[in-house]
Amino acid sequence: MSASIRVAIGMCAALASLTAGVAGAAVGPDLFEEAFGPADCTAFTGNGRLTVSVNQFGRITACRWPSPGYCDQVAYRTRERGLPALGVEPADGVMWGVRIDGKMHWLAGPPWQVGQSYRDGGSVAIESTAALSGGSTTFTQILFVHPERDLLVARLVIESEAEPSEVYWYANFSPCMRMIPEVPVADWALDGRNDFAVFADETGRGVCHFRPEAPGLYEWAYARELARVKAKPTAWAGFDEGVWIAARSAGPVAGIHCGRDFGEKSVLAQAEAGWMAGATSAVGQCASVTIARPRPLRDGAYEVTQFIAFGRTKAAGDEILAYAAERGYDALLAETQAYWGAWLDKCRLPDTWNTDLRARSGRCLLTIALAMDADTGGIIRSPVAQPPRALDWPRHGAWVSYALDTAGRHDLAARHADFYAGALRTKAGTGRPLGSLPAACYTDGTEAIPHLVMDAEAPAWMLWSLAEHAARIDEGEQRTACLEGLWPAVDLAGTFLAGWADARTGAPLYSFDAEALRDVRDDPLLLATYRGIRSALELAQSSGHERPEWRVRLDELEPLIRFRAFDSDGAWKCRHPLEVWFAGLIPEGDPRASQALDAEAGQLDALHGIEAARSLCLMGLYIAQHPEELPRVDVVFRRTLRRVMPDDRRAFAAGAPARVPDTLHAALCLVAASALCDATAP
Amino acid sequence: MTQPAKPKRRVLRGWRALAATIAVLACCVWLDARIKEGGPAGAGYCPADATWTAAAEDFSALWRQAADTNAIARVREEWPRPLSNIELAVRKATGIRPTPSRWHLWMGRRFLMAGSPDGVGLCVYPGLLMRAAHLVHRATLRAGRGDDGVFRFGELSYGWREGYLIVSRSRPYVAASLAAPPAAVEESLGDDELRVAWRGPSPAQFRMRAADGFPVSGRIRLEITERAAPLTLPDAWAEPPAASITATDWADVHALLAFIEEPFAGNPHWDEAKRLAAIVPRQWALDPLDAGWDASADQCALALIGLEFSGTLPVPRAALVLRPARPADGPHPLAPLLGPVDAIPYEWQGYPGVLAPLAGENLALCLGRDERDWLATTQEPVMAALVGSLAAGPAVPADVAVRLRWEPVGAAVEQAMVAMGEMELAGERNKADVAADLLPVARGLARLGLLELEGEAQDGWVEFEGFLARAADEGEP
Repeated sequence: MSASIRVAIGMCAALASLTAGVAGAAVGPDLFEEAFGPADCTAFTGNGRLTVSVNQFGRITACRWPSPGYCDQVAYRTRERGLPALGVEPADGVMWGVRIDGKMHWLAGPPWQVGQSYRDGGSVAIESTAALSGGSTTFTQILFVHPERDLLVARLVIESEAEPSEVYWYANFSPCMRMIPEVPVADWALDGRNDFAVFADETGRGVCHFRPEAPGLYEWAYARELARVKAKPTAWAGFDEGVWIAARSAGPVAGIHCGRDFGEKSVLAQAEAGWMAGATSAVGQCASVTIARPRPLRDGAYEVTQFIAFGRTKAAGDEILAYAAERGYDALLAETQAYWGAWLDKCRLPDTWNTDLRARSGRCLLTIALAMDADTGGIIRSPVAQPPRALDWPRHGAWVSYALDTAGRHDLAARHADFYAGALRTKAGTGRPLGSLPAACYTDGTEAIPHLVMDAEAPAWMLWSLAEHAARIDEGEQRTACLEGLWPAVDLAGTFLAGWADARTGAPLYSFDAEALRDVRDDPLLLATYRGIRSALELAQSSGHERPEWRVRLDELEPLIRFRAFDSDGAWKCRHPLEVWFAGLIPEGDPRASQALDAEAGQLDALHGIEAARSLCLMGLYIAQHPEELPRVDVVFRRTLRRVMPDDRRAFAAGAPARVPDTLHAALCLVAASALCDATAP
Repeated sequence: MTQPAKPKRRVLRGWRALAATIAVLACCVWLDARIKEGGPAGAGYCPADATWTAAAEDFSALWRQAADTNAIARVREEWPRPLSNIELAVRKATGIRPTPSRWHLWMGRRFLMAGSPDGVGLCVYPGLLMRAAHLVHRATLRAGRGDDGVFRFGELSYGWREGYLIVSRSRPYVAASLAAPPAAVEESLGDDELRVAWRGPSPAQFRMRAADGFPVSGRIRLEITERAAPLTLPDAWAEPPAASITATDWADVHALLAFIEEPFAGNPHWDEAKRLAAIVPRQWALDPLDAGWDASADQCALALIGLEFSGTLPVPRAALVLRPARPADGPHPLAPLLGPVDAIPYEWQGYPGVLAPLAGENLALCLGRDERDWLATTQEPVMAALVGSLAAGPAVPADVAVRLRWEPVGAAVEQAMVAMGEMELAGERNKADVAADLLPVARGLARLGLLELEGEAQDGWVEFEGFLARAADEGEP
């Protein structure tokens, strides 16, 4: 193949490689890290609009607004896992800094020794503690997002014998409004094209980073002129709507400094040198430093608190800051805790006396809740842009919907179902068959992956989750309304799936594979297609619609699956036989179902991460229907669940590998835990 | 009656002053001309590590003649002032809006531009006016001469060496030029030509004349096959592609592609794109081709048919044609690639082939043939259109031929610019700015016509000639 064809195809298909691993498929993180850089997030907080991610050191690595799924407002980019700090530039991100023995230490990376957790059970406040080896001072960062206002609260608590003199708060916001259809790189790979200006606000205790919508030559020239003449803050407010990030210290401030975010004279370099130029505004790629004076909190402890508001205009940001100032830190934290406590109370946690399991399940649900767009119902896979997982991937999102239904949150599952229904392609195009789904969407429904990528499994998984959702709604008017509401999407997706067939062999046509980075036809596609059409048929029958051609298609697929799954003696010959059971192809009482369970259990100890969670989930679903088979696999099941399920108390611990929050992982674990508890319930 | 004595003396004084002024001016003009025509031989100075140079014997004459060509006339129909941004930049930097005559007045005849790792700069041999301006500038103590002999004028740095003036935004560029040996540039053959040299891994030199169609000739250090028979593929297309390269075999085509890539190597965006692109063939794990896989082909043509913009990313539509000396028969030369791929047997106009979906309908490797040629395309509709459409083709007595149609290039650039404007990716320009400033550039580009180059292998070089912008509806410009 020619080099130029390779380059051209490679450039397209490299972006096509944005399809994340299929749950259960052997897609290692290395491929996506190699292409897009490693993830740098161990915890996140949010409110369905503003979503803030931190790494294990408490450094803010992403600030997405107005949705969890797009427009990261922070300049931050990782390069390679083997590099120090993953190759992130020192000037990236948002972080606290303290001067110790004349030297500036940013709470952003080594040599700090750190631990991180969510503040307490059911909390979305992240607590990151840091200390230097041999040091007597402990720094604790607390970070949370108010549930109803787009307000980020960041507090630093310093436990020290001597009163600290000043603390630095460094912010390299890179306001961004751009979202590029099919190419999810605008808010991290193109940070050099984001940002606009920063200025110190009229209170003298805050700064405002902003970017108006679609600035042109005139706006840039005007901004540069304002900076040149050191214009008053009110002059800056004349810019149009866009992204306005207003940050203000809750306590006294020694100085505010604005400047560029790169080079020898950058704001960061000045802060490290202990000499700030004192500029009150900057234009272009810029950052800011707030030098705050700590206030006594309690004996031997001092605090500095920053309120950061996000809005479309300066006035909107100012209003939020006024609210924050009026309420104060403690009240804001209490409101946040109360909100999420009430949210969890509406959920059905696993029925168990095991408080640890219940807490971990609650954490799984909160992970999902924070990842859900409050306006559209879209749910991102993970709050990271590198690799591009801050998108809704239907083949994974189906499990998230299922988990929400398992937790009794049918309302949220319904919203997610509506999101997918809206994303279905209703007009045919090249590479975009009618009734297919994009491989991934931004949370506003825009296609986020190049349409070169044809994920035929996506509508299949969507249909399965819709059928499961409908089945959980009590019979009656509500269920009828649900079925009728879903029917157009079911009809469209079911027709696509039934027609997506190779006329020569009867097998499904191709689907893009994330590992091979090209179209393949494999067993997971075959099984997903069968399951999807079966679900569509169930929904059709439940809602009184006739689709005989779907039944015909099922009858065509069944022998193909049996041929792939069983040898001539009828014994299993596929790697994951429980997947065949999950597709509904093993009749009740068939001993091969038990064999499938045993085969899955036998592989568990060797599995990690998503693969382990998926196996647990399937095993759990089986056990929930066959609780008498639990004793055979109970020990390995519980051991694995303890190993892979997110721990409420430890977002990150020293010596442990960093784990990126992941809604698919959370959903699978939650379903597995719930199923286990249902199987053991008296 | 006699005239009063005082008025007569006044009038005589006035005439003398005028005559003296004219005489002084005439002396200055004569001196200016002597300075410009004189001076050391050679094009001037640039950094020793310059990667490219462009030189002209008489830049203002070249400029004037280029503006009068039919190619620029066509461009002006869409882009009335092609140099407006440059003019504005020069005016902002110097206070003077450049025109050919002003250039000649201030900068003289000789012109040498170069690019190096330190930046881009210019070397000229000016006349009296610029030298006088420098003396005045220096006298005002604002020139800020450093130890390296470099002066400052606003954002520009400049220096003098043996009468040559070297100017750049990059101070290191000027300093390096002052220390470098004289620039090695080919001798000029006329006032209407631009001599360009590339000093990369495959050195190249070419001359472009400011005449209709912009005739060009030159040489590239490149090993390609010397042919006995003429090429027939370059102009065999029923629908000429946007761009094509035709040579004897794939190795020759690839060598030329590698040369075209040289100026981009080292650019961080290009390197990043290549790094990403390299992942894909590795993951595809297609079977490697044996050496000599195209041995049965007498000619090989790689064509970019066009770009499809149905999504954000443009998808290239490409074709590879292998023309054997005898009618195509036997297995397709590229068939061994598809071992791991689930290829679908296909047929186009009765000729058998295969279709291997790689990324849906948008990217499917199609291998086919017709009576004359082996064909490979990146989409099925491209193959369907191509089979049976290539003619025997007129003979092109060359070892390599390059064809490029500026119209689809300009259309693609225009679409890309519109998208960039909408996505705020055009620097500090928004959609309206792009429409006003940049779209006319793309439309002007589309009017350039055709680029046609043909080359012959000679002792490790490719000697080529052709046109950069031949009118599309003319046999010759």
